[in-house]
Amino acid sequence: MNREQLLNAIGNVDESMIDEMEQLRRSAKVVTLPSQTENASPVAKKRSRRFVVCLVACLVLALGGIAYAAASLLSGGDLTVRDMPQDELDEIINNIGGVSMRWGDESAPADLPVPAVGVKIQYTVPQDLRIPYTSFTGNVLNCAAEFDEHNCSFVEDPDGGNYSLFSFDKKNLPSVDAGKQYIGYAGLKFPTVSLPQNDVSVEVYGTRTQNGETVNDEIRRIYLSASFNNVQQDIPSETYRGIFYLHTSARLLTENYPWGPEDVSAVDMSALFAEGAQVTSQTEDRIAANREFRVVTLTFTFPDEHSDGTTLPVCHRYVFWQENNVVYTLSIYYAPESVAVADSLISEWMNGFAD
Amino acid sequence: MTDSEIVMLYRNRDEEALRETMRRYQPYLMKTALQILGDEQDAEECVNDTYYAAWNSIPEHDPVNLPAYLAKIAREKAIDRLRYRQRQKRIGAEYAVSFEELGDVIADTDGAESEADAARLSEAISQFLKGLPPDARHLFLGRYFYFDSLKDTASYCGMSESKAKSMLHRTRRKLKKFLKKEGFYE
Repeated sequence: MNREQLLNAIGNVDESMIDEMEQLRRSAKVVTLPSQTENASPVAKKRSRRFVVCLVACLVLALGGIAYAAASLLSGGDLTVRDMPQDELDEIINNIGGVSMRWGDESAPADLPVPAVGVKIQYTVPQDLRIPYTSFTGNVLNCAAEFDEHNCSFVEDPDGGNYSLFSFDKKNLPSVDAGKQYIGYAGLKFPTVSLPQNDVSVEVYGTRTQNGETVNDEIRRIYLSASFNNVQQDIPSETYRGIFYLHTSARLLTENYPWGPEDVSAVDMSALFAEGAQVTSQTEDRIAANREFRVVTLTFTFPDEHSDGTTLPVCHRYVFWQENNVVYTLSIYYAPESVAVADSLISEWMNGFAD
Repeated sequence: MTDSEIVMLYRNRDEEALRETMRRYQPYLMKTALQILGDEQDAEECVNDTYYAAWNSIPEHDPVNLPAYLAKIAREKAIDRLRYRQRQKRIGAEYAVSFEELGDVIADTDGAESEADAARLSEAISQFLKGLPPDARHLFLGRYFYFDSLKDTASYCGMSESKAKSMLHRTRRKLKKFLKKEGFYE
C-alpha cells in the first residue's frame, strides 16, 4: 500500500459521511449547494431578495453590536462535563483504597461493588500555554536542588494514555504573595476570598526521574494553590449548611512541557461513594471583570445520612479561567441553601482578576 | 427539481439531467476539483469529465446521495488528472500538503494492490472514520477527501488551526495503528 492508494481509498468512503460533510461545509459556506426545494418564481425571488437585503442589514447591525461587545470581553477556554462510567469509577475506587473504601468494612469481599456516582470535568484551552523559562524570576527554577523527589502525577496525554510527571515537592508558604514571589512570573494573578486562609503551597512537577533513572531536572508544571474554609467557626458539623470549603489554584506550564497547542488545562473528577447517590451537572458562563468565566455546578443528592455524618445534598462548583497563559481554577463545596454566599465568594474571586 | 428527480432523468437517458446537474452542482464540483488541482481550467475539464462519468455510470449505479456521488467522481477525476500533471511538476498546493501529511500513516512502498484490496481498504477506512468523534471525522475528511486548507477545515469544524493540526496528527496516528491491526501492512 502507498499514499496514493490510501488517498484513493479515502475517496471511496461511505457516502453518508460525505453527505454529513457537505452539510457542514454548506453551513460554513465552503461550498454552495442549492436547497432541495429551490423553485421560486422570478417575482417571489425579487420579493425575497428585498426581504433578504433588509434581513441582512438588520443582521449586520445586530452582529456589529454583538461583535463590539464580544471584542471587549475576554474569553476563556472550553468546558466539557460528562458522567463517569462505572469502569472509571471502579478504577478510582481501587486507586484510593479498594476494600477499605467499602465503608470501613475490612471483612467485605474485595469484589463487592462500591456504589458511586461521578462526573468528569475538562477545561480545554486550544492554544499553546507554555511559558519560557526566562519569564520565571523566582527561586522556583532551582527547586530541584532544594527538594527531594516526592510524588508522581499522571497527566492525561492528548494522544491517549498517561504522561507521568514527578513532583519535586510541595512547598508550604505563609501567604499568596510569598507564593507569587517564589514563582516570579509577571503575568500571574491570584485573587483571594474573604474566608479564613487555610494553607498556601507551590507544587512543582518535572522530569527528575523517569523509569527510575535520572534524566534531568527540567521543571515542567507549576501549581500555586490556596485553600480557605470556615470550619473552625462554631457551625453544626452535621450539615454543610454555612460551611464553605474553597480551593483555588493557578497552573503554569514551562517551555519544557511536552505539548501545548491543544492544552487539556485541568482534568478534575468529583465522585460520591454512597448508596443511591445521584449527581446532576449544570454549566454556565459568568461575566465579571470584563471576563467570561466557565462555571460548572454539580449537585449530589443522597437518600440517607452520609457515612461522615453530613446530610446531603451538597453542591460542588468549579470556576475556570485562563489569562496570561495561566489556568485558574476555583472549587467550592456548599449546601444548596447557601448558594447566595457561595456566589458572593465566587464573584469576589472573579472580580479579583480586574486589571 | 430534487436530486431524485435528476437521478430519474439520468435513468431515462434524458440530457436535461446533465443541464440540471450543472445548474445545481457546478460550483460545488468546481470547488472540489479546484482544491486538488489548483488550476481553474483543469478543474473545469475535470468537472466536465465528472458529468460524463455520471452519465455513463448512473443507469448501473443508483446513487442515494447525488452530490456525494458526484463529489467522489470529481475527486477521483481530479486526482487522475493530477497524476498526469505530476510528471510535469504542477501539483495543487493543498493536495501536495495533504499527500505529504499522509506519509505519517503510510510510507510509500510497493504500489501493487488488487481491486479487492482497494475495496477492503476503503471499507476499513469507513469503519475507522465512523468510530471517530464527529469533530475528528470532519477534520479528516475535510483535509483528505476535499483537500480543504487547514485554515478552512478548522474554521468550519469550529476550532483553532492549532487544535485542528494536533487533532489531525492524532487521527493519522490512530489510523496507522488501526490499519496495522487490520493487517494492511506490517
